[in-house]
Amino acid sequence: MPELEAFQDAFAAALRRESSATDAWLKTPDDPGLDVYRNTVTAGAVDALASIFPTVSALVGEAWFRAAAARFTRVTPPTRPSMLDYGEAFPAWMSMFPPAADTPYLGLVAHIDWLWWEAHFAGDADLLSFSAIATLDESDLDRRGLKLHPAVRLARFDQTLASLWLAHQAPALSVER
Amino acid sequence: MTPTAGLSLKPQHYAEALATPAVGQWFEVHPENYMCEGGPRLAWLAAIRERHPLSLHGVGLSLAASEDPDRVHLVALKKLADRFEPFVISEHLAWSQRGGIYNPDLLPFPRTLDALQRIVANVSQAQDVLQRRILIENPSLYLDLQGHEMSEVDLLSELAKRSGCGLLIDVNNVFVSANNLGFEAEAYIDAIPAAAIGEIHLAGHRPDIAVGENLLIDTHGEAVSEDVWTLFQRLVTRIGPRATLIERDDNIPAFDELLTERHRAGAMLEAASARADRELAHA
Repeated sequence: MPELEAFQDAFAAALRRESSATDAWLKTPDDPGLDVYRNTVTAGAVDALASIFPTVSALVGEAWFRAAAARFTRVTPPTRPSMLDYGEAFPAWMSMFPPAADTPYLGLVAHIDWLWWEAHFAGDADLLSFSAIATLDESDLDRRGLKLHPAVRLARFDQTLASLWLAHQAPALSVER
Repeated sequence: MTPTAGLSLKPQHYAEALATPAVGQWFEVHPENYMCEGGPRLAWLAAIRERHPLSLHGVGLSLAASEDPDRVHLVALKKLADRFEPFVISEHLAWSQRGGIYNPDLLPFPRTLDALQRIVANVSQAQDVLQRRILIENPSLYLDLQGHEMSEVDLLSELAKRSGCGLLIDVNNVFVSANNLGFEAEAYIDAIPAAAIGEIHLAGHRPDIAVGENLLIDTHGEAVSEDVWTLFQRLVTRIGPRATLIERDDNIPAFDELLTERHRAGAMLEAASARADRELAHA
């Protein structure tokens, strides 16, 4: 195996504390520098989740959220360099997360955050105005059909959940929200 | 025209960035944050791009790796470059992807001949897809690895020669790596081939919480340190002015605070330019 490849495998395992094969390349065993990389990798993924799921974080507090998110990143690490798509599996994971058993709504709140995030980055399209619809007769409508805007997301949930989510939308949560 | 100083563009500052009248003001973004279909983020970038030059500074191509650069990612980068026409595209001398997992960090590697060959091939592939020269940035290092067959300066110089890429010199990374690994930052700054350097980065750092001053962390969350300003002065005195970024990604201050740092860098570039002109006149 070429050396670069062998090193990458050893280093990736060291990041996850799964092996000490990186030791062959370290001048100092247990070099604290290794922790800098471990911390940055985890923080990068956790920061991405914190941007996507601010309502969950507001409900449980930042410290609890970051600890839970760090656990999620270990089971479901990012796979792509653009992390705008990272975290789709987080709502379902949160619903099954044992420490969140007393707050079963967290996974559902995460689901709404995810839909908001998808809508936020969805394609742009002009809206069809009422006056434009008014010019179409029935056969026009049949022929042309109507399409949903790319940013529309549909979900069904208990009404109290929507109120809970809305009650925790503070402008300070995210500069883009 | 003298190269000018620019700023990292952060969502907190979109409105101020759009309105700023600063002459020569350019902005830099991580393209990974704009790889989406649409929405307000892309709309802001488009509006700001209409008034200011833009630089795309990638973090995800994983060029110092045994695998080819991620094709989907490269194509997404090309799409952004086609739309926003950046005056420069840059990436890092580091890796992040391995075996289907993306590690959101700029990871180190032993600087072997094998590694150099892979990186030359990967940078060439990226440049072929993007149909332009890119700049490669020196990393900040936290681990003293063994097995290096060449210095970082030699690797970067050879990479530039073989692939045709340019270099982005992050002065703070030089300072941080020199501190952490125990080499002389001035010697590094003096040895980088001037002709290859297309851009300079300035950023802040802080000591590691556990270890202290012996391990500095390149946080992009502090003001540029005086040590780094001194090294920057040394670099531009030797090579002349280059487009210079005040890089801030964390602990984002008020826009005006960044403008003050940008102004300081800009004045130093002007002075370096005037000096270069005088030397030319006397030659």
